[in-house]
Amino acid sequence: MKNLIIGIIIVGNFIMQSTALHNLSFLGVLPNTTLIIIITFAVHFGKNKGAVIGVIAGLIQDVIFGRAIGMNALAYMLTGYFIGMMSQKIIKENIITPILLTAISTILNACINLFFIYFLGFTTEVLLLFRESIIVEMPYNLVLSIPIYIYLTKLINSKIMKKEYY
Amino acid sequence: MAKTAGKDRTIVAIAIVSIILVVVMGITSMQRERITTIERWIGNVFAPVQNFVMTVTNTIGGEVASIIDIKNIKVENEVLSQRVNQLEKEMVVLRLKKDELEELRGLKHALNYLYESADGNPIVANITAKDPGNWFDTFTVNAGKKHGVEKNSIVVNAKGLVGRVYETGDTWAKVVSIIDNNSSVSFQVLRDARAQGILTGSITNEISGYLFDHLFEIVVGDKLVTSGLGLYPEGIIIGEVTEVHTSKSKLLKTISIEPAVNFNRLTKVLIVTPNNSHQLQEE
Repeated sequence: MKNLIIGIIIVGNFIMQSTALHNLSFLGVLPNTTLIIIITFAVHFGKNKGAVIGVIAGLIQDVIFGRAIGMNALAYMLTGYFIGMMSQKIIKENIITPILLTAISTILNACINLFFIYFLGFTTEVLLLFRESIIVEMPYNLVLSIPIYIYLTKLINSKIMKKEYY
Repeated sequence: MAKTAGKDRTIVAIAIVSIILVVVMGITSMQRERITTIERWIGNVFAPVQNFVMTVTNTIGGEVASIIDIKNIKVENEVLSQRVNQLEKEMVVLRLKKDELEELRGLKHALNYLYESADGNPIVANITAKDPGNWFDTFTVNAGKKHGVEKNSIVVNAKGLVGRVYETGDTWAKVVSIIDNNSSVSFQVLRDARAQGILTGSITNEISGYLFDHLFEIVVGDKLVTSGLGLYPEGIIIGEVTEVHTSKSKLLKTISIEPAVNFNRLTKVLIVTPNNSHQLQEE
């Protein structure tokens, strides 16, 4: 049941992010809800699951939109893994947790992506892209991370996730 | 002891998957002739769902927007009906010109003059989804190989050039827009076809580029069209010049342009399959 719900959330989020969420773009920048969801799952389920969820979410995005398949998958996998590694040492109930982790992973994600964007020769304006993502995307992610984190935490702790059979 | 072994295993797994992904990335980073079956199927599953959600959101968004702007709509209506009158007058003049043009075309044909025509039927497609990431400007449309869309087909809308088809699936296709970082278009100035140059997209929704001839006096407001060099056929409107910079050495004139197409509000596009002459010209 747990895996099914995680799968539905990842796929549903991807569909919403690529269609409806475009109406909420701010200065031409979209918040990265996939990243926030991966962080939340990684915090609750640990590094192994975090990495697996990250790689699956990234691959979907890569196959549908990506120029080079594997870029998002790699970035999300490493993000999920590192956040999962930290998960044992942090207080999951604190409101600061999602904010801090989102900030860290937005930067991490941008670094990994831009590394490959640069070396695969897609653009040379890497610093400009980096600045854009830090100045505009990060605050947007931070604001959205709080409700998503709280809602998903409730869902994860609810009974439906603990059912063995379906 | 067992714990460290387990830890090592995850790190090894992560490392192996990372290496695989980097290799896959290297293989797929170039534009490919054809996509793999797995990709095609994933696309085939997602495309209809995304298309449905996109249609619903566009409808709702459109309704909400029209309720909010009801005042503007009235004003717009008046302006538009005036414009219709004006255009009808122009149409009479243009019909005369059209007859003349047809006559000349017939003559051209009779003289066996070699010319290119934009043949192939244009395909109307809806945008199904847009890339959620902020690095690239790609979107998918609900027309694919089944409808006759090919790799490097040209995507336009009523206002001007939108982009090109990057990869095609059965019922969907990936389109790279001209405002993407990695896309470049060769242009010519509408009022003087000799002034040509190259435009590239950037992260902000603005396109910038440079002129081959730095002595040409390009001004703000000049309209740019595709020059026919490279992928895109000649004469498609790209946009308007918003800024002109001359570098200190005066050897390079760079320009910024505002695209004619509003990429945020884009919902419908027209796909024109390339004719062979254009494919030969590519690179």
